[in-house]
Amino acid sequence: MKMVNVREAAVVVIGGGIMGCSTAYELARKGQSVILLEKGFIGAEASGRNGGGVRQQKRDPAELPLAMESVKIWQGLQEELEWELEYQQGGNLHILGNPDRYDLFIEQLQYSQEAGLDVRLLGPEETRKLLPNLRKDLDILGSTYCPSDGNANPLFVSKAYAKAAQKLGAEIREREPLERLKVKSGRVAAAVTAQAEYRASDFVIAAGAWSRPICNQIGLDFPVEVKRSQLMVTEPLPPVFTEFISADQCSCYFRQALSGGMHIGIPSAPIEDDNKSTSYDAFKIAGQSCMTLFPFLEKVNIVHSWAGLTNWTPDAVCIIDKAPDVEGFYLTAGHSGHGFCLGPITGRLLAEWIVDGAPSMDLSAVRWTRFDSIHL
Amino acid sequence: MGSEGVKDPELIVIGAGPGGIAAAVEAARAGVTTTILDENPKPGGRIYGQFNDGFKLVNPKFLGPDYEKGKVLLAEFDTFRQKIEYLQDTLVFGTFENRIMAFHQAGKGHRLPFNKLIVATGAYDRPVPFPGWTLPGVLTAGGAQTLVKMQRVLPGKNILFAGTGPLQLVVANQVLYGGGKVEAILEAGEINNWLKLLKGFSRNWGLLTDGLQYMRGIRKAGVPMLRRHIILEARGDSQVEEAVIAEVDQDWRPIEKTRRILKVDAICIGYGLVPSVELKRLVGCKHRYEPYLGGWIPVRNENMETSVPGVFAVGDGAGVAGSSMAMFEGRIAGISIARSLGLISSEEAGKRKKPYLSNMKKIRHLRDALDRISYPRPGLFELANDDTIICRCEELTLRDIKKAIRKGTSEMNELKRMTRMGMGCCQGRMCVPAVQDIIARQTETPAAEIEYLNQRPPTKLVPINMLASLPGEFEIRHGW
Amino acid sequence: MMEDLRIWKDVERGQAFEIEVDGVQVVAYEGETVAAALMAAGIRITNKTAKRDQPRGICCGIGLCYGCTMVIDGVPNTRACQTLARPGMRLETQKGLQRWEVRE
Repeated sequence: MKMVNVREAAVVVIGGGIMGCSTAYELARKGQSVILLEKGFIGAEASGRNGGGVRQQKRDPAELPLAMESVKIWQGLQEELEWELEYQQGGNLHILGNPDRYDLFIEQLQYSQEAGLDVRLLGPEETRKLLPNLRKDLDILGSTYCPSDGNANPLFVSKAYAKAAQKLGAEIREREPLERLKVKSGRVAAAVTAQAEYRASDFVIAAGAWSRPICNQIGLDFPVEVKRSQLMVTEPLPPVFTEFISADQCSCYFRQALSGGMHIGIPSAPIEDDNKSTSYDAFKIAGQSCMTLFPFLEKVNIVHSWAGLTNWTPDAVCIIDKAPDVEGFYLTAGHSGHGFCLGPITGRLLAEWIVDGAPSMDLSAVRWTRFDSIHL
Repeated sequence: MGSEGVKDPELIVIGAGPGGIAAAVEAARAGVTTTILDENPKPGGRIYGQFNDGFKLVNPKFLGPDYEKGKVLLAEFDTFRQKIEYLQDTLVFGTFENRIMAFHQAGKGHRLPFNKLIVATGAYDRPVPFPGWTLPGVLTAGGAQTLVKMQRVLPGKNILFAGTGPLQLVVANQVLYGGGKVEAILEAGEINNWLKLLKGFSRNWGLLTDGLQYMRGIRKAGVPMLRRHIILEARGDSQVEEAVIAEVDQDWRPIEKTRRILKVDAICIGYGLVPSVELKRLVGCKHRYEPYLGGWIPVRNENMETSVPGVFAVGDGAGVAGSSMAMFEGRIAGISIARSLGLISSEEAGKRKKPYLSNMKKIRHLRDALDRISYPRPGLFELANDDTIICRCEELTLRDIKKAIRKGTSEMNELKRMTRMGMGCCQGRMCVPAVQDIIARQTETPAAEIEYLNQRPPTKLVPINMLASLPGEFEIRHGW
Repeated sequence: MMEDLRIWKDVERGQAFEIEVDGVQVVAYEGETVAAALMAAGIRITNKTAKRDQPRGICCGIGLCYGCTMVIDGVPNTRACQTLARPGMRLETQKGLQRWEVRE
């Protein structure tokens, strides 16, 4: 009979992105033994490939309170994790220019302000004062501006959380893809990899675009579409702006990293395979967007491009929930391209749920059961 | 090309060095509609490069035997000019899904589908980090050659050559011929070994006479040729003022007591070439690690076709083997493509390939032996100390790289994210070959097993205005 | 008297003209790259690095190493070895990251 290596922990976390690593950290902080399994290296996927925006404005009301709580954690995160994350509250600015969408943005502005967010409406002149490099002949209606929004370097955050978790006793296992879940009497008994069988009382699935097939193994499903998000970056420039910028007038968003490169994000599109290269269209769209907003970029070179895979729910709102009808099974997924900001709060809430019995915030708006046909 | 009513070419050749030109010639000879995309203003690549307008060649003697060979090839190319579309100053920056490539030319971005593709992008000087290598005045042997040969400018008033193999002898001769002063030539290996070798192959091969000619020129000028010597350090306040050199053992490791200082103001480094494989990686070609041919090279069959159907690779970019081999490989690829398009019969293709195949066989033995002699020994990779810059663009030292590896990041892609190594404008060309060796030695893993950086477009830097001018219209969308 | 490291043997050069390097007039010839004109004048430092303020210059000569970048006619990060010298061209030794002129 083949000897199986069996390991035990209080919690097994599957997925080493920002969600999984923050969860492992928060659990370890609460004295729980944690084993995290990551198929590649920590932060290799969407958590390490995204645009770096830490954004509260323009969020669905379901996620807004979570984002605001998360930013409070972000503010002290570098110190807490003892890792330079290049987090800056440089603001988030959305330039308005489409009269058909104007009311929508005013509506978002209003409920965000009611929730206590420091977002406000700027007129065209105020907007141009913040962005002197904005194309002079661009027609703008103004902008929505949130100064407490910001950005960080996605390459570091997951790793920083993982290292901090390790320091507190969590076990982080890389290059160990999950082979299958062992299910017994309606509950997950173990997570099985090529190296070992990992048993725990609670399992957290935080595997991003790879979460759905894992949930299917215990007969659960959730509606998501896999989309590819693409980015490119320019050669280093001296500091131009600190804001994370988007606009009605073009498809891309802009963020200047502290290292100087201008990151340009291209709208995500559905994809069949796990292609993480970038498309021809992305280059054309990026070039066009740059010239629409920032003509000073015309001779600046693009140096690199990359892509990541994101999971989009039908309402573009994430899921943070305990599995219906399955004990000890938690899911955080479906972040629809804007999960980065929610990393810190998600880990905290899941750890509270698992250890203290309930999360300290109301998560009914992001529940799994808001979708139909989640049972296979 | 790409314009209304004009069909897309059956064959696209990227690169107009000996490999690309020879391939285009054979393809056109058989009737294949061919387009060459050349990043330079005139065909010839590096070795058969032509002078920019403004220069007038009075006496080609200083250009050596390569000039004559180049003239013959370029003359043959000229006879096919009507049949080959040649686009100069054209920079290919990416291949994409559905076999589309993008390039920019004449101030505009373009898109072109490719059916048969020959990548003939050549090779570049191996980056060898050693203390002081980033000082102004330290050039690569190739860079010195470009400067001296094509621009007719000396890199300094007192020049040191440090490297291995015949390339630096060629450049040194050109410097001397041009009235420049060469302080010394350091050959890390044993010159006598490759002279012995050349003698064995001298029958059909002019390389020996060339080699001896170069040596004679150097000896005549009284320039010391120091065999089994290596550069240890370049020193100077803000540019090269002196070089520290030493004799080395069989493994190219310095013999400490032989250390001495030479007062020079320019150092030309020539320790071999590394194939340029970015486009081939991007299009999905399988690569293998072949240290004697410069490092990672595309896997090819006897027709020069890579693992991606319809994509061929020839020349130094597919394995450093010199200009003659590049030409033969190009011809084989061109003929094979014509055959695959049904324009010539198998019999005819075989007939056309025969003389080139037999020539290739002759050179291959010689090349294999030469490559083994000039192959860098371990000492070359130990020149850098902890303070030596490894990633020039991001200014990372060996200490920075080793620290990251110790912290648990030994995979190339992860190392890049953690340190920013390879994220600069050179896109990893100057650091990744060295970093690969560093990881190999720090983790005691064979270089061949170290996974390479993911290759994404652009394969060379591309200005935003070129991207904005690419064909295609897209509606504004949001949702990231 | 500026030195001249040009080789005059066996080639004829075209028109001579002047380019400005950090405010100083330097001669260049038709067909020369900026790198060649600078090297000929004994000018080898093209930029100082952004982080460590280290001097860099022409190295690979074929546009791959980005060591020879300068501000050329107001455009930073421009490779001297890939740029043909033109009459009246303005060159500046680049110090770290330099501002891109806003073109309207």
